[in-house]
Amino acid sequence: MIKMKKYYIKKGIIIFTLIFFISTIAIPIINSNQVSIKNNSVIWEERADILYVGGSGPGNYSKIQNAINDASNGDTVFVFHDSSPYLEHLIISKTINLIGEDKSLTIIDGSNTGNCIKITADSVVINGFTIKKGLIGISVVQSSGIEIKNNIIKNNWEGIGLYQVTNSTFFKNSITDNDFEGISPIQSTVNTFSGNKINWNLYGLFLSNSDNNFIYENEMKGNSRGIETTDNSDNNKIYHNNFFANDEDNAFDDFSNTWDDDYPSGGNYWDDYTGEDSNGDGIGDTPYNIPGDGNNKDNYPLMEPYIPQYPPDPPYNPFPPNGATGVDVNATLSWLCNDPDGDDLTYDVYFESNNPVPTELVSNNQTENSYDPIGSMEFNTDYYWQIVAWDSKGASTSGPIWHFVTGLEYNYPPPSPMIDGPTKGVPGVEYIYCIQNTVDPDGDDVYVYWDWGDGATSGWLGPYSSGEEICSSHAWNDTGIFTIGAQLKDEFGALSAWGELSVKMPRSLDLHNRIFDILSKNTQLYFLITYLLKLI
Amino acid sequence: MKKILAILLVGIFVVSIPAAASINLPSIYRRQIIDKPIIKTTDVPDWADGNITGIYALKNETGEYEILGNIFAYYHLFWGNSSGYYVGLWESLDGNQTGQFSGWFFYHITLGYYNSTGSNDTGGFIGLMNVNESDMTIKSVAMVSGADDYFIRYASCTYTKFE
Repeated sequence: MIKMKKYYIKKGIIIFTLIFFISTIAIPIINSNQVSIKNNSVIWEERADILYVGGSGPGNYSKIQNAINDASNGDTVFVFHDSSPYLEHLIISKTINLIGEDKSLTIIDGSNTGNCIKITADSVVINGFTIKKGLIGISVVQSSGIEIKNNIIKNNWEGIGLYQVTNSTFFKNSITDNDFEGISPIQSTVNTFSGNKINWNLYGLFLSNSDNNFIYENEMKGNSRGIETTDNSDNNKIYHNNFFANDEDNAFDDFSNTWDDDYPSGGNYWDDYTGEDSNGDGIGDTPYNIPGDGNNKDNYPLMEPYIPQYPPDPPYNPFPPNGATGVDVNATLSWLCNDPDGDDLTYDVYFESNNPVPTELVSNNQTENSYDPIGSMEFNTDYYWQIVAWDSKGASTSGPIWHFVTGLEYNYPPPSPMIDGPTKGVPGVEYIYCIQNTVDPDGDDVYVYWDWGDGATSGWLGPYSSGEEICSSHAWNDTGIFTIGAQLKDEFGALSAWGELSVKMPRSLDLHNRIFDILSKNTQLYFLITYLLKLI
Repeated sequence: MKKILAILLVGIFVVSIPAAASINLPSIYRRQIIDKPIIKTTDVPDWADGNITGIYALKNETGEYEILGNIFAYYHLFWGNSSGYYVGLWESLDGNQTGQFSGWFFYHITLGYYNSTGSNDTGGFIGLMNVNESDMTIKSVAMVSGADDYFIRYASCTYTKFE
């Protein structure tokens, strides 16, 4: 017996310990990942809050770093320019989007000490800032999936410094007037540098032990050296860049890299290329030799500067939101779209019901980013739509196919009935009550339900045509005040509010009859009472 | 033409030496550095057209800049101010290490020689430099040879022209 007791105690302790252990581990994990459990399925709730810095909104932050500290992974920190310059040295160790209101006016100033921004997390986005006067404008350390785009990065010792950074994108930044390197990747691989203006730095792009990067469609002008590869930087692909007026060399390569994109795509534009283009294909007849010990050549040097053609960004932010239900049939569709080159955009609108791949072109070449179907949408119908954005150079981008469902047709209920009939009566007498306002807004047939206030009800009577007068009768057998209730419903079940009427039953018809009987049997008494009543 | 000539001269100069560590400065300057430390910040050489002050730095293993110390030099210009030479002192931030350096510059290329006070540490350097006349600054990135390795140093300076 004692053994049994000990066994259960021991078992209980083990189970309790296990539960405690699991809960102490699981609860923090669940909390930290914003997980909720509904209907036995785990739902990951991706928080995407926007934290505002500057501006005049209540609760806006005054320091960017404070907003970053309070942000969670996936959040966006949006910085208004009105409080610029932000004299800060930002440290970003979580996956956030840091967005400036206007890249020319939203300024982060490192005050010539420290780095303006240091990133140590993956998938951070920096977009829309002027970043200046830091030792390094943006320093990224041991991260991947970074996006640095549409920034002005100037007057730092070094514009962008990368250490062990992979799979990241550096796009359309203006990286100018930095003391040393415009961009300095160290041990960084498989990154893309495109569309940047890397001008007036000591070195434009200084690759150190960095391999397999893609460098294209950049402008490198006025640097002492446009691109230099050092420390075994190999297998980088460098093409469609424009090299102008770099003081010592446009490029210098001691290692093994690819400096063109084959024929006919071509290589780079070199302002000091002296070859000719005898066949007029825009590509020089002889290779451009890259200075340095790597014996590299641009085999297809371009005769004219490369002009990048960026198509519009995909349309986004649809209204109605993708997947929306219950959408008003009179809704106007709208969307947003940008062009990296700032070109004017026009749109083709494909819009169709019940076809997941809409092919019906309902509007083309329109400049507005909205479309009104003008009464063509039906209730409770699936609609699919797609926007194709075109820039002024003829490049286009198709947006995703969006979908929504219109709502059910709204069924208005009949009006609250107004009961018309006597408000006084005597028990036992049948009285008639009518409802005249029976017009249903939708013209539907209606039913009526009477509650006579004495426990008697009619049940649903009908149907009656919309607007038809509805009458019913009832007799109360007791004295008292009774509340008649009436309710209408249409043929689809939409109920009106109750209408009411109070009825007073002051006299008992039985008592009246008994007095009459007594008086009729005693004529003398009858005449006496009549005489007395006349005297009053 | 002048630029091409200068680059040609530098090219010949560099090609003619086996390594940066053995760069041969004109003997007078090499002797000045090694044999008789003539530089004092208060003694202005009669050849000086101006001076240079600033800092030098390295990038650490994570790509961050670390300021190592200060530099001071006098410079002399020729060839229409596009080229010249300089002789100066370097000192670590804590003041425990000092030395001298001298070098040439030809447009955007500079090369020179340095030593360390109290030791046999010597070496050469070659790099790029950029002079900004609007704010009178000089920025340079140079590959510096040490005893058995090379490393990159960054210099950020301002300069003052003597009247």
